[in-house]
Amino acid sequence: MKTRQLLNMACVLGLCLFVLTTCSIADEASPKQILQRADKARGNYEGVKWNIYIDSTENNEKQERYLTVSARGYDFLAVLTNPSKVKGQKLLMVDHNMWFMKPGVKKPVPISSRQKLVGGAAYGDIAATNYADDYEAEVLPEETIDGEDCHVFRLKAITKKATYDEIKYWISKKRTVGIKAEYYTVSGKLFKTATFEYNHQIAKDNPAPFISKMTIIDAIAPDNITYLHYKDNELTKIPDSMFDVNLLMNR
Amino acid sequence: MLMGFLRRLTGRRKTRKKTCSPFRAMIILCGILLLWLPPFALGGEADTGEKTTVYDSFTDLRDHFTSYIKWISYDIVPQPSLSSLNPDNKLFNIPSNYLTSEIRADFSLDMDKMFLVFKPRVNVIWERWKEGPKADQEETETDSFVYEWLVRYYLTSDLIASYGRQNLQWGPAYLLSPSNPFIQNNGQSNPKREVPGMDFVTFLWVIDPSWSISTIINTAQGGNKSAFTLDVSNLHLIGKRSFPDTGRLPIGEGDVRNQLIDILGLDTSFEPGYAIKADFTGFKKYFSVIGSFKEYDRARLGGYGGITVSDAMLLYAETSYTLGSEALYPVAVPHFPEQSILMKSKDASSEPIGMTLVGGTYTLENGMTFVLEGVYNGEGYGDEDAERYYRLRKQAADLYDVPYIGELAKLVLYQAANTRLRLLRRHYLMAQAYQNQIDETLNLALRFTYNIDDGSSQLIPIVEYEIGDHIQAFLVGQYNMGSIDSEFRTLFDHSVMIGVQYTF
Repeated sequence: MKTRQLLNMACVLGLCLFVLTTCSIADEASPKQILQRADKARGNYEGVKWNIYIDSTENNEKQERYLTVSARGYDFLAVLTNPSKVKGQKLLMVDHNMWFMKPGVKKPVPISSRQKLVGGAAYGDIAATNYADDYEAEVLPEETIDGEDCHVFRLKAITKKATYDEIKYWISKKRTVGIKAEYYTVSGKLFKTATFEYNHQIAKDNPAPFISKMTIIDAIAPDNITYLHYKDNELTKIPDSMFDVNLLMNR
Repeated sequence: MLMGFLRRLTGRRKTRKKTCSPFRAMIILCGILLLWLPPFALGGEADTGEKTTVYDSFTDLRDHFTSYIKWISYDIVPQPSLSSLNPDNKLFNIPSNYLTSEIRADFSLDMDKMFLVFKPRVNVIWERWKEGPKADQEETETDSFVYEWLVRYYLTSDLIASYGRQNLQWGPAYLLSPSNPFIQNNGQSNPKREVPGMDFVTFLWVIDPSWSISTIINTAQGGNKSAFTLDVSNLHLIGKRSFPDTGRLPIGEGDVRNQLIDILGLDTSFEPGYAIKADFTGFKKYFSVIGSFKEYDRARLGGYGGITVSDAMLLYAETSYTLGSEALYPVAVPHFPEQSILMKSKDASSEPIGMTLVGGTYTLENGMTFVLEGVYNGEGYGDEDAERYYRLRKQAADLYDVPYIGELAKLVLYQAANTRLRLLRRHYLMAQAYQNQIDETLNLALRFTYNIDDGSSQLIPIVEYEIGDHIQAFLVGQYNMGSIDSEFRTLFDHSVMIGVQYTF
């Protein structure tokens, strides 16, 4: 009897130990693992298709754009579908080479990433993120954003592929999704702030939160606000041919 | 058989008389409207099972269907120059007013394995002449044709075959694309006039995200029948050319005649062409190598490449080289050294001759972009060639109205207009500034091209103004400077294109 009780106790203890260890491992996930999970909620899959509605107010002027985007990592093909004056314009980003085509221009023209998309939205904002691989994370003291406990990281670009030089990034401890980011120039000057919402679910087998809205606020003129609404998200394997510039003319 | 059928179906009508065109235009216009109409307008509310199936199939197709429909109207008011190529506007018959209204519809259907493109056009053109054989006359024409069509089939996700009529363009350059052996004009100087396409069969193999290889076969001329020299430097090239019918010229007989036609460059009929294109895209850089040849012509090696220097600056280059040249050069007539004849004098040469363009763009924080390009055209005329060329043109212009000899003069001017050179001289500079979406309403571009060799230049302003989300007013100008017999004043002193477009 004693032996059985001892065995039962050992099992319970073992179970407790296992649970504690597991929790401890989850708690102590490395910054890279946390960033990887947060990246997945912003499209870092083999490929994602989404429709983006951009609604921007800049100097009291409202601008709107509807785009259909096929993205894989930083590469993307974006087709503007509305308003009519920009309908049919296409943007192709491949390995940080960018081409722009509009109906009538007859061929894709290489453009620099400094060309504006609309409002405060950079081209990098309509692609997926890969912060885990492209930035080195410095752990900062945890903070609470809107009642949600967050990991806070200072991310410094370690690859030339990174869109921004430095980012301060708040990741929800509970949901492991990025909920706020501050973007800095090389000289350390804050130029825009973004917040993120995740009201979508993606991956039917193993549902996970997925980005639904990004709000970008200009650091110098806080009245200049750009909203990116991500809709109709679809995880799909995107073939290499999607990003071939030879097919851009008629796609 | 299929190709023949497709050609008949899509071929541009050679006769463009207004007698039967309106009927054809109406058919195409109705087709455009039917394709554009929403499905409920066709089938109404579906209430039976069978109808629902048809309706569902249609809506399923419609989910993969894209249409862009645009109505565009513009008026071109040119001022022909008094150059020797077009004496008293008799050869090119450039109208003083060219008013056109056009429906441009672009349809595409994107299915899993197949992608279809169909771009019909219907237009009405009204022209009026002040000078030349048609002085004080007016003409109205309607025309309907398929500008581009394409059937693309995905053999696998990365092996793609296509056949169709396309305006096949590539390369980063703005002024012209030397690496493209098929289509001379890249259409960058006038966003409102469409560059005619040609018929191509292509196979594209996307090896990995960095590399792809294309094989391209140019099977037919399609709608691309523009002159060789003039379409790059004249963005408003309009008019009813009175070119001689070189197929009926009384020059020799049999083989001698054919040799003469060949050496004088009078045969501008289509030659099928073939190309292999290898593309590489790497981190902030890309390049492409193109090997090509045309039947009865020499092989050509070309390429282009570019690098992203910073988020603001791009650098690029394009080139194309061949051994010898198909172009016409003025050659001194034996025993009459002052007199010249235009002929393919470098046809048998094994000297590498080609064109190289280097350029760069710089974008300011506000989106304003500056472009600078330099061109070395090794195929172009040096000073002595140019002097002979212009002297020959002048002599031909002086004899234009002389009985019998005038026919020969026309022939010489026809040669002078079809030298097969994209640019006449050797050294060029092009500077352009543009900015799009200024205050969400204004697109501006200003291009200045300078011929370093003869000092002539061309200024092109392009203004597009959005009136609401659907309507755009636009202006495309062309102002040519230089001596009366210089490259940029060959046909026009200036011209203005002003118009409006509505995007549905």
